[in-house]
Amino acid sequence: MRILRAGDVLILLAGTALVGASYAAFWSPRAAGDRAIVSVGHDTVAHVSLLEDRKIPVDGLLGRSLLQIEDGRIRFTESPCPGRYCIHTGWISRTGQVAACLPNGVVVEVEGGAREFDAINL
Amino acid sequence: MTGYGLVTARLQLRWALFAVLLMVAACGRDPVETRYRFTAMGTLVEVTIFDHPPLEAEAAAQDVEALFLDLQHRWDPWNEGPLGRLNQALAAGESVQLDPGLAAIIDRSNDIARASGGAFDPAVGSLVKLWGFDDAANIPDRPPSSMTIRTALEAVRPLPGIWDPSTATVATAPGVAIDLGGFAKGEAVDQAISLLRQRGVGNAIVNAGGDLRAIGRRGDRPWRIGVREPRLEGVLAAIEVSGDQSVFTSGDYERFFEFEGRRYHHILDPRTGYPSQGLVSVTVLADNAATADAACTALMVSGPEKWPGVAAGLGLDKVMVVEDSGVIQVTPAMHERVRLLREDKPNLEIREIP
Repeated sequence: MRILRAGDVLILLAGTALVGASYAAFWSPRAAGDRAIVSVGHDTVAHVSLLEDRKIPVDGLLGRSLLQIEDGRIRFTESPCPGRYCIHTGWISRTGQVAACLPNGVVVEVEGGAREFDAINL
Repeated sequence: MTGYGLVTARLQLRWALFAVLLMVAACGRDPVETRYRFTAMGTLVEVTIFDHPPLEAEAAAQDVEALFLDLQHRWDPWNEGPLGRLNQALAAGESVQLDPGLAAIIDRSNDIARASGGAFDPAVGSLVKLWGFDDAANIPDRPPSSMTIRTALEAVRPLPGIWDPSTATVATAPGVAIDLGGFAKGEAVDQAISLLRQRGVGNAIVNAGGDLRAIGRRGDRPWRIGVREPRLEGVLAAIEVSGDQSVFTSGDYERFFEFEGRRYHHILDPRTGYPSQGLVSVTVLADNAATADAACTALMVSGPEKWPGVAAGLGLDKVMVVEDSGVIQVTPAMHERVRLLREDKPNLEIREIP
């Protein structure tokens, strides 16, 4: 008796291919994020879409920071900090990228796509 | 076997196949990853814990936050903590015997200062303050005068010359202030990893402003670390780590100002009193985060020609540096570990450690 017949092999192959294809479709890396999470200290203050160009004011510990969204990217354009490191960071758009104004306590992180890196050496 | 039995066997086989496929598909979903972020030591610290009960993971990460804040107080050169008090006593012309906690970290930083041949020296606190790089929230707008730099430099005595480990005493040295920047962050990362291990965490990254130590793995794959481009936006290279390794990068882009068209950054050469020249970034892969941290500073200071000799003194074999000309120098052992991500083929030079 043969336990495995040609039809069974076909089903097995088709099933494996289907799982592979769906895995690729659902889990393949798409690094660009489509939204950002904005927090002040430990509190999340906004989830924003990166698909709509606009400017977003965020009130932090020192005063108001201004975030700009354009072409799926986000950056700090104004902040009441002396060092301006947040503005130097420039645009971020890939999932997991972070821009922060530490004196003002405002942190922006891109979300929604696949994370390429678990951490970035800065 | 009857025909009926054969059909049943085949049906069972199909259901078994279906169940296996379902399990394979389900394996694509990751176990829980806990991320916890806080600010300490003038930087953003992120703790990532993988495949650990979320409530326990978050509690452990909160303990890491408390640890960092405690160390920040202890190791601040200019406040009322133990290191601040040491600097006040040195400024008053006293010699100081240290408590065991501070003595231990001063001793470790002294070992690295010695091994680096003076390229890393925590005794440059007064120079760091003179330049204005001591305040993480502020950035200077101009360099100090050459006269004041020379005066401050003349007062500096290298740490190995004033530290006596047998009595845990810092000798009288007016004009010297100890600044553990370039070492404290790495030491804090090492202590944080020890704390997480005590809590039973086996897979984690402690990332202090981009400088990190990673233990374990992220499930079925290693941890993926990106190294930023020193001059462009984006990521220069990818490094995969698993088990227990530290990846640290220092660069002249982290804290800097420009004055009359020239860039002045925060990594000061203890021998000249001015920011180091020639290299724009250094990446070190090492077992221990404190060593990796201090090594980045020492190699930046050593410059494009001499860094391999200093790396040898520090026992390092995995180093990548980027010159201000854009040339990337990499040791053979590091070359095996990094994947460069630039679209244009980079100008790469392999440098042996002597």
